[in-house]
Amino acid sequence: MSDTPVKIIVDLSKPEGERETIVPLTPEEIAQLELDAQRAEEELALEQAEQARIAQLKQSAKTKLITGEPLTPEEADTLVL
Amino acid sequence: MPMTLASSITVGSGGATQIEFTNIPQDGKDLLLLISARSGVASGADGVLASIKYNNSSDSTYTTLRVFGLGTDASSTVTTNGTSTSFYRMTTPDQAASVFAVGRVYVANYAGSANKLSFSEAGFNNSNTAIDARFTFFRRANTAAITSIQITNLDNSFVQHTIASLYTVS
Repeated sequence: MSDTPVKIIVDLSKPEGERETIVPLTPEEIAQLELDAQRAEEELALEQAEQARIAQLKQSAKTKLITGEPLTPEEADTLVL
Repeated sequence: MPMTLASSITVGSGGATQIEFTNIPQDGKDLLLLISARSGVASGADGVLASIKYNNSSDSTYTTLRVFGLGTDASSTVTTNGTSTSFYRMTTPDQAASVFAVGRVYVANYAGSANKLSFSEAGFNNSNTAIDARFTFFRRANTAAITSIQITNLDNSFVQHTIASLYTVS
């Protein structure tokens, strides 16, 4: 983000029509935003890894069901709640 | 449950990275936030994340359970000690044209003196074929009444016509 990011403040203590102001984020807010963004990316990577793990287990369970092989407990968990 | 619109904001042509509702009236029981948003910079199929936090605090008190699905498979994760909760993924200019992600956040007992519990539902379309849905339950381990809410685009700006509306529920 090259330009200074801004936020819209909606101050509910003010009358309608006077509530909105646009101000630049402070350096502290920008630093916090960057930390939050980094964490969110890490959480998204965790989500994607979990999705991939579940998809792989389901595929493996499906293959074993078709061929008559026993499932692992983890594979069975993808089919039975 | 009567609901009263506290305020609704539509982002203008300059965009904004954050939308902040401040001095939230303390006379309601719960809060409901509705948001329709799109992000301003291309990011690929994953879209862009938005976060929510209360009282503009950086304390690491958010525990978040997410149940989500992109396409056909659903799964879940739990994260702890967050300084906010990412609850929302938005479409971007390299995805379906003019499609805004949708979502809502419900905050229980926001003016009370217990830890703050919230849940959200959100969905976005990362192309014309893949849909991401997520259900998020999060707890802020802080007993202070919620007087402000910050919704932040974690990668860029909310584009023009992004709308956020805050209701009090009594």
